[in-house]
Amino acid sequence: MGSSGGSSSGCNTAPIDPSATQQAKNLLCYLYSVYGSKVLSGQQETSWSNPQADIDYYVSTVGKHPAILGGDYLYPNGTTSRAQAYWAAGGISMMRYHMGAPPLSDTYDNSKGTVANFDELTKPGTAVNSSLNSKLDYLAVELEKLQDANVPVILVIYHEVDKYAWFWWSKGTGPQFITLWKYTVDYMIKTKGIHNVLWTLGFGHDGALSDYNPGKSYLDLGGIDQYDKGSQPFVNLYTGTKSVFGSTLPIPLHETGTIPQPKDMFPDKAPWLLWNVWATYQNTDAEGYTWNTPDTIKTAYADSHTVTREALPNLK
Amino acid sequence: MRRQILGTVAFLALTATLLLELRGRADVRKSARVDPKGAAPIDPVPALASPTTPVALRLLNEAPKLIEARPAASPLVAPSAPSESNLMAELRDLRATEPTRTLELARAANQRFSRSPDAPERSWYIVRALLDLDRRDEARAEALQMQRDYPGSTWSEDIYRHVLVNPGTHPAERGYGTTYELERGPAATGN
Repeated sequence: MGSSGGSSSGCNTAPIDPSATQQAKNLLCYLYSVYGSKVLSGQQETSWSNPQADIDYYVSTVGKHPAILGGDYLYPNGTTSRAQAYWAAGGISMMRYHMGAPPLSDTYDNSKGTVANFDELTKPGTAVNSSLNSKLDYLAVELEKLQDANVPVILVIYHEVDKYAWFWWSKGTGPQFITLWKYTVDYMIKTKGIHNVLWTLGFGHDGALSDYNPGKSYLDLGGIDQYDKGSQPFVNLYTGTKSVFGSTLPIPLHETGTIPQPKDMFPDKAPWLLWNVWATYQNTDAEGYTWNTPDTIKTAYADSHTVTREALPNLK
Repeated sequence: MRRQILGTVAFLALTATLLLELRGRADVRKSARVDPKGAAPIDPVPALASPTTPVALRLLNEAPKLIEARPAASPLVAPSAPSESNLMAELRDLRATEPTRTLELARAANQRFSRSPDAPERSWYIVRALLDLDRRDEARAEALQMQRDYPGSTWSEDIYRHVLVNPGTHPAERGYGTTYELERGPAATGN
């Protein structure tokens, strides 16, 4: 664990939630303080089979832990307790949720479903609204466990937002998505009392979409994901995302195949806030392509710009 | 004698057809390696037997059966049939919002223009449409076939990531074993 330094005292930024927990404030302030000069390492866990193996790979390969552990609330068992343990060990959790398309249940296949009437999602009394609320209630229970343990969470609840892309939340118009986003944030904060979240929007491969951006009053972070090959540190993607979110909002690369090399990112080519390698892509030839090698991982983790779990300050 | 001649002619015609078909399949594999977006490098055949994709392994043997079971498009093409560029324009306009129409158009176009560089994109539409129609096993079978037919295409890679990495459904999922969010099912508890 690094030295103390994550305190929000003297910090000029605050989460969008006026009742945010102290740890959420500390985390956001820390992220703002390193944005542009450091990049946080991250790894998504293989929630459905062997989540520990993804992190163990880094320990055996570079002798360090990623700063960020990525989880998915599609898979409830152990996700919260692993996040809590990672925080206790000095790390940060970033969650997503492959939520099934209301009124369908939560399965990965159902996350690619379609909501028959998108506008009814936020209309009280409708079946899809009841279903959506039920899913958010479940999420709130899990997040509250973390809140009670003083654990903040970077939540990319609706990720990979593209125009009519894979997941149901992308299958509406821009204004419909913004309505859904604001409803979700308000429901979680005001109705469910969840205050340990940094609300993070994640665009998808097609690039950031200004008409799907709910604006800074509803966002703590705004990022994107990608699986480009051979073009790291993904300058065009970073530049395009920045053009939508603006120059002050930190931009995470919340899902990637290849790790962008910090030596190529700074000072200003593509200074991502963090990278998060998708589950198994760190050490398998997914899609028949070698996304990372032990050498490229070692190089990235040895770079002075890279923040590992061991180098994080005390944010508690 | 006449029957022998007819038989010989028929045999030669059949042989020529088979040769042309085999050449066509080889060509489409070559063309798929040049991505329509112009961004993808040439890569080896995807490792479908990767231990990270158990769903791919499980379905590998079922794929041919499922694909063969699909209804074949008519080989007859009307003289006024739309051009490939018009078909692609319509497919892109649809953006898979009308899955039945998308499936019909994409399959017919892939039969007519099987060697086209746009074939991988059309196969992407086919998988998306099958998923939207809730024909999930067929979609996975098509997804596996895409990995064989168009290795290195960004269209195949996108399908791989969204259909063949995460299991479509799994006992570890919150809603496993149920259809609807609010129906009674296995308790969805966390830790």
